[in-house]
Parts: sequence; structure tokens; C-alpha cells
Amino acid sequence: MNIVQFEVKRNLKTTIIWAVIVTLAGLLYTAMGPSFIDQSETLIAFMSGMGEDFLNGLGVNLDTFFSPIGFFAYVGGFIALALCVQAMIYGIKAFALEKNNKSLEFLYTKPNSRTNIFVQKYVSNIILLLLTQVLVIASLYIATDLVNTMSYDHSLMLIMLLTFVPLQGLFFTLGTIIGTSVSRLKSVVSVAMGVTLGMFFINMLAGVVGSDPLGYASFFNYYNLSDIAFNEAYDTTFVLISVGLMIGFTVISLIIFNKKDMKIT
Amino acid sequence: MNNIIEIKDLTKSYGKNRGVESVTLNIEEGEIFGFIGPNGAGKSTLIRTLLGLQKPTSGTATIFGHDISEFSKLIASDVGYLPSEVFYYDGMKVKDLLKYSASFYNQDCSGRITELATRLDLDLNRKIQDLSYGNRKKVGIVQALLHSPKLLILDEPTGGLDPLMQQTFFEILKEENDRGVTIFLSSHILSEVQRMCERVAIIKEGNIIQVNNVKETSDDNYKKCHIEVANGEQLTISELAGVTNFKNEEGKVSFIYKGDINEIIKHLSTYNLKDLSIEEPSLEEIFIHFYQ
Repeated sequence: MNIVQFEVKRNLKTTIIWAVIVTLAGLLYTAMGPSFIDQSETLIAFMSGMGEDFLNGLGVNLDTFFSPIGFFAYVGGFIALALCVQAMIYGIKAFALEKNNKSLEFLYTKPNSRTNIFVQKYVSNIILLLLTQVLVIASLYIATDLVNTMSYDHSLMLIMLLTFVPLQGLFFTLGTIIGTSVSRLKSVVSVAMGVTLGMFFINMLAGVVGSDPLGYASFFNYYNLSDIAFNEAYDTTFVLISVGLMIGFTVISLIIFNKKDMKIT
Repeated sequence: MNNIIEIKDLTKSYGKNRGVESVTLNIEEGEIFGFIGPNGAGKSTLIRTLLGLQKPTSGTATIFGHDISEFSKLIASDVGYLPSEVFYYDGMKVKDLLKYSASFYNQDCSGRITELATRLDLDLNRKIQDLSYGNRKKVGIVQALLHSPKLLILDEPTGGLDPLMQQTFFEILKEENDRGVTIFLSSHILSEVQRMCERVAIIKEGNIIQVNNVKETSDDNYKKCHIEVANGEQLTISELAGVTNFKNEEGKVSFIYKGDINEIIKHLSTYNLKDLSIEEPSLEEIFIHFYQ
């Protein structure tokens, strides 16, 4: 497990910084919740004028918005966006960055099978993402409990916070396909941002136009916080699809990683 | 003697682009084998295919009797590889990189790392990103040798090393070879190959065009001739069989001759010579026509 140790140690500092930034942003949002809830009457009057479709696109349901759960259904989307960008960067970077820096040649010429290299790099990034998830989810769960005086369903809050886990998994595994496929990638961050923001806006658009097929094109829609707040559960179909996709993406990435030549550049 | 590397009809192509074509080559245990050719001839392609960095298009190759495609992990444990350009993880210290490299082998390499770093005058505490090209090459050398491999594959190994360091490096290689290590050395610096290798293969445009015994090649048949004749004298030397690298600069003529020395002396005696000298050519001069 020397590659796991090496990769975790190498990326730990960046991961902690990212996790702390996302946590602080999340805490800031959470702290704003009670103020919103207190001024619900004024805000409802104002937001009603925006139109239901537009509010759907933003993930705002006026019936539930002015509660800790409803407010989190809105702000949680932005926290998820930041976490998904991170997951995608890690997925791409795990394999593409070593090609960019040509250090993959070093690993390939060591007594290691390609499958073993893939698995160890994959596991090391999963560990880093889990670390981020633990920090973010635990902090937000505790903070929401501390700042809100209004009672709410703590289990449902946890269910909503745990959507970060499969969302990061989906973007991470999609990132591994990109990372293993490309021979050279000039900017990992711009590709990750492009794909993640693209899906985020597709999800908003799907909410505005009320399109189910469009919803399938965005991972964010699989774990739509407004729907989960309303139904108090995940959508089983989307859970099955996302598990299938994560497994599929991983297997495809492994096949590509095993077959692809390390080209002379 | 056992063959450490056996290559049979190995072809590697990149779509329509040529890599190497139908290469057949054997490298014996304990020998220092040179592999020369101009840039883009396919030297690195062959090496990288042998190392499993890319899959062969057709043909087979074995190292230590194991197929390179199926047993790359097993093979790699006894191979030390020095790439032509070394790329490692920036931000790391040399000692951390070497420690990481050593962690792939089931042995304590710390003593060997210290010994090699001392001989190569390599500062283990410096960050890799701060190193010059030559010092990075030294990291590559230590990294290739730290686990005491049975086979060394060196791709353009001396690039960036100053002459004194090249001397030290060649001494290390000689010591490794003396303890039975087989060395496969690719270079386009022929003097380097001449100095180190017992046999040499010449690759051009993806094909092995000759495999020679270096000593026999440079000792036996080839002569480098310089003559001086009156300017304007008609010469037919270049038409003789075995004459290459013919140059005539206002009566100062030089060429490489391969063949019976009496024949060329007899031919030269037909001219009104002002001067004549015959010497042993370097390997570079013998093989230069392969590069043209």
C-alpha cells in the first residue's frame, strides 16, 4: 500500500484546506438560516413574485424553505457543487496529472501491475474524499443543530447531508474516465469546473422546465435536496442508476488504464 | 550463455506512424550491449515496449525468460531503468523520492542510496524541482541502481552529466557489470558505446540494420585514410568498393576504407601523393553513413 500512503500524504494538506474552506462556507450559510426563517413573511411575499418555475430551478420550495430542512435544501446545493468540483478534480488528477508530469513512467517501471497502481491511486483519493466528507458533514450537522431554535427532523438532515457521498462518488469516477483517457490535459481544474458547473446548470434548467429526461443528464438531480426534503427519502431509481454508473465508470477507467500506452512525448 | 533479453519480430506502430518494425535481437547475460541510432530511429520506442510502458503491435519479447506483456511486474523487480529524460514529483526532496522508489522493492536500499549519492555528489536534501538537468539525471541513476537490479536499461544515460561525472558513472556501470549485471545502453553518442559496449545494434527508421561486435568492428577492417594530392588531380577513390565518408577539399582527401589494405595502397600508389596517413577510425566515423 505504498502508493496509497504516498498519495494521501502528498495530497492531505490540499484536501484539508479545501475541506475547511467548504466547511466555513457551509457554516456561514447555516448561520444565515435562522435570520431567513425569522423574516419568512416578508421574504415569501417577495419570492412569490419570482414564479414557481424559477424557484424550482433554484431548488426553493416556499412551503418548506423557511425551516432548517428547507433552507438546507437550497444552500446544500452550493456546498455540493464545491464538493463535486473537488471530487472531479481528484478523479482526473489521480491519473492525468502523472501523465502531464510524466511521472507515471516512474510508477509503470516499478514492480507493480497496472491494476494495482490503479486500485491504490483510486483508494487513496477515496480516503481523501471521505476525510472531506466527514469534516463537512459532521460540522454542518452540528452547526445546524446549534444555530436553529426551531425543531426539525435530524435524521432527514443527516440523509440530506449524506447526499454529498454519492455525489462526490459520481463525479470522482467520471473524473477517472477523463483522467485515464486523455494523453495530456492542459488544465485539470477548468475541465472539472466545466463538467460540474455544466451539470449544475442542467439540473437548474431541468427544475425550471420540469423536464425528466434532462434530469437524467445531471448527477445533481439524482440527489435533488428539495425532492429529498419533500419525500424524506432518496429516489430509489436514481440511487440504483448512480451505483451502476459509479461501478461502470470505475470498470471502464480500469480497462482504459490497463490498455493505454504510455506515449513518448 | 543465457539470453537475458530475447526479441522476436517485434513491431510497435502508432496508428500509421512507424515505431519499430520486426526487430529481432538477443542480449546475453552479463554483456554490455549498445543500441545506437539517430534521433527518432526507434530506440526509445523499443525500450519502452520492453518495459511494458506500451504494448507491442506484434511479435514477442522476453526478459529473464518471461514474456514482457504478461510478466511485467515480475520482470520489473530485477530491472533498473534510467529514462532519457527524468521526470519525478516536484515538491519532493530527493531522499523522499528515493525512499518512495525503494519502497517498491522488498529490501533495505538505504545503504546503497547513500553510497551512490556520495559517489555521484548528489545532495539528498534538495528539492527535485530545484535541481539542474544533470542533477536530476543523477537522481535517475540512483533510482535505477538502488535495488541492485540484474538488468540495467539505460536510455541516453549521460545527457546532462559533466565529463567527470560521466567517468564516475561509467565506473559504476563497470562495477555493476563485473558483478554480473547485464546492461542495455541506448545512445546516439557512439564514442560512449565504443567505450562501454561489447556488441552494438544499429537501428535506423525502426529497423535493426546491423549487430556488430564493437571490438572487431573497430579493430579489423576499417581504416581512416588521409591523403594530399595536387589540386585538380582526378581521383577515382570514391568509386572503390569499401570506401565511405569520402571528402575532397582542394586536394585534401579523407575517407573510411573497409577491405584489404593492400588493395587501397595499390590504388593510392597510382597518384602523385604529397602526404598519406592511415589511422584507426572511431566508431562514430565507421557508422556515420547509417545516420545519413
